[in-house]
Amino acid sequence: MVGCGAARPGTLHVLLQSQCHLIRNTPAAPAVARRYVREALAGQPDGVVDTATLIVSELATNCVRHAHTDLAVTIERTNGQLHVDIADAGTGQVTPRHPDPTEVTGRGLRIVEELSDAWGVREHADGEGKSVWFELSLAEKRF
Amino acid sequence: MAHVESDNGARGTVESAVDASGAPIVKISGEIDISNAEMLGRSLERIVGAGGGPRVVDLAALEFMDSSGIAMLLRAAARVDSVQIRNPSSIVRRIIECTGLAGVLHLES
Repeated sequence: MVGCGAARPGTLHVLLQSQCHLIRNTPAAPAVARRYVREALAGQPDGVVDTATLIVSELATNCVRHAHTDLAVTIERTNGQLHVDIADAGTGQVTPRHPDPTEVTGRGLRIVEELSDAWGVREHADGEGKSVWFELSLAEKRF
Repeated sequence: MAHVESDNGARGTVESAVDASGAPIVKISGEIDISNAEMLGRSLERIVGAGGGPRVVDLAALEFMDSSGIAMLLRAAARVDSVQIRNPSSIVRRIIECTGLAGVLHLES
């Protein structure tokens, strides 16, 4: 089961925004996740919104392709930072690859790694599934 | 022109066109993700054909593309001598550069 549940431990900043959206596992999940992120981040700098949208699309694609479970996208915004968590009930390894230019696939997590300020994988405390999270500074000009 | 729309998924099109100088180009517009990349890719490969000179792919009307779109472009590029990417957004340019693909998907300056 994936749900919009417990807050992350250890958050010290004041949350200005915290919202979560459950998305069914269908090929449309990345598009649904992108629309949710764009709506939730309305008014934030374009570079941040575009980057967050791209990274969420990559992570939702991985859920569809590998985890085969529903997903929950949680967005937390503090004064200077955005933290996004994509939870699924799958157990697979999350490791970026560095494919040769002749290989057509395998670049999703590489894009997450390159475009986020920080990212990581968090195993759920109940042992059911994992979250891939990433952070973006809201202040920085990204392009 | 291929128009692919899945239920609440990405909406994108691939079409052949000519640019201001009369040269043939391929225009991709809308969004590309896992929900439509395979179908759009079949149209793209049909339009670019195989062999011959460089193909220009114009992304001026592309609103969104993730690594599913990159994979689609790489499959098409593998069939021809070279692919020139025209009018990429800054984020598409960044994706192509950060994944080390600028030598395969040539970014027009």
